[in-house]
Amino acid sequence: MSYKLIIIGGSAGSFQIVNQMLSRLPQDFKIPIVLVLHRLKHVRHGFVEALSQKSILPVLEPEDKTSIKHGSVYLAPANYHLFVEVNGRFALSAEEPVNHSRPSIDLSFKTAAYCFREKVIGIILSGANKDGAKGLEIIKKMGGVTIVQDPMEAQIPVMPKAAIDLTGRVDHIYSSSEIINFLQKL
Amino acid sequence: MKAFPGEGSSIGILGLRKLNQITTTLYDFDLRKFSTTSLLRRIESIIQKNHLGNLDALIHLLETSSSFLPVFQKQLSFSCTELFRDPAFWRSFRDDVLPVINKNNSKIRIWLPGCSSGEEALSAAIMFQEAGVYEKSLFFVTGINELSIREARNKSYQDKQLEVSENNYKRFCNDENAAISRYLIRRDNGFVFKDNLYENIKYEVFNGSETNKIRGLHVVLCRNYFIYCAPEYQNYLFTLFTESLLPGGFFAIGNKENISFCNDFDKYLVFHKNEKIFQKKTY
Repeated sequence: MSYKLIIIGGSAGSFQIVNQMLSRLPQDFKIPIVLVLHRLKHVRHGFVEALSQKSILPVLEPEDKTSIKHGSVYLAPANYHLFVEVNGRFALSAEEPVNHSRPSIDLSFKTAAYCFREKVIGIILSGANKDGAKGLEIIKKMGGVTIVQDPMEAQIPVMPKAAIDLTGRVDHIYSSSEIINFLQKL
Repeated sequence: MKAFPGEGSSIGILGLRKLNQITTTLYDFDLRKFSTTSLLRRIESIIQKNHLGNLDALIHLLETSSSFLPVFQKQLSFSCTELFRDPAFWRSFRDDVLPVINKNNSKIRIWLPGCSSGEEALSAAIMFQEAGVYEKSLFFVTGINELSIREARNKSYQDKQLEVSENNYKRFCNDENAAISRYLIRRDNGFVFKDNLYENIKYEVFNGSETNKIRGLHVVLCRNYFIYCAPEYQNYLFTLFTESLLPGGFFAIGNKENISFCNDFDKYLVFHKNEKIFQKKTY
């Protein structure tokens, strides 16, 4: 199976795992990665720089209508929703927050599922609210691969738990090192 | 019909096509102007808001009742409900752009296309008033039809909706005690902005056509409008706005928007990279 997109949602307690993951991916990793992490809406700078420090692959905050390219990591920008469009580009939206969040993980996951169907891998990490659960459920319904960080390991288990409960049967419940292993083998 | 399953959404690309056929043939209103995902989300929400149940009911309503068209068009636009979104942008505008456009005694003409619910215009009006240039300025705020501009003009707020704006305003002023509430008065069950902020704002319908555009402008304030437009339509509008701007005039977009692919992009200099403010070349 050749996957087209990996999309990762997280909130409080997810930064370290993402950072670790980005430092351990192979240099020739092709599948685009989209990070939808809850962040302060008025702090527009610093996050992408922090993630870039240890990342093997380039980390970018996509602008509206940017094409999704191989070998790149994209971080959802502050105070916008990030959509995957049918034309293979990103689209942004400034519509009202969903689950008190903008970017909302649910919205990004949903659009990724519609565009890439069974060729999406959705991953939910540590976090303190339920954003992302619906999105992961849709990825599952559309035939994509669903992975959730083990709530026992997650710094804040609310988000992984919600995703597991709603999706019913996620494909994998992994520790962070198992997630990294899984990605390394793709 | 290949539907988008899940979440009760069953519109899909084919559904969009069907809907577009109706809006173009009956009303000459082409939905392909909009970016797809946002359009789908809007239509889902219109179906819900008007208790229509499904897409076919929406199509039927548009076919049988032309009076629903303005409601449909208005509900297609997203409203940005906060004032002073991106305080850093407004500070740059005040400190760097205003001195340039306020050089002589002539009127300052500003166009804000896509009025949504009017918050950008009010933010601009407040900033201009505080800078002492409101009296010599004229704001053109345009929307898709009469209904949408009327709503923008008459918007009222509940306390809670202003929380975000209140915080943005404090950041804009760089003052913890700054209170946007001093521009508000109580009316009926909510709050409205004082009438004097509206004195130099003209609300007009802009249908997107060449003949309908506003000319002789110093600024086009167009933040977070292109994100809802398809690339081809954005390109078309950008050319139109560029023709509306005076040489040396300013064009502002949202901080993650992108105009570099537009044909007329090379008619501009980057004036402020981070805040996405561009200046039309004078040559």
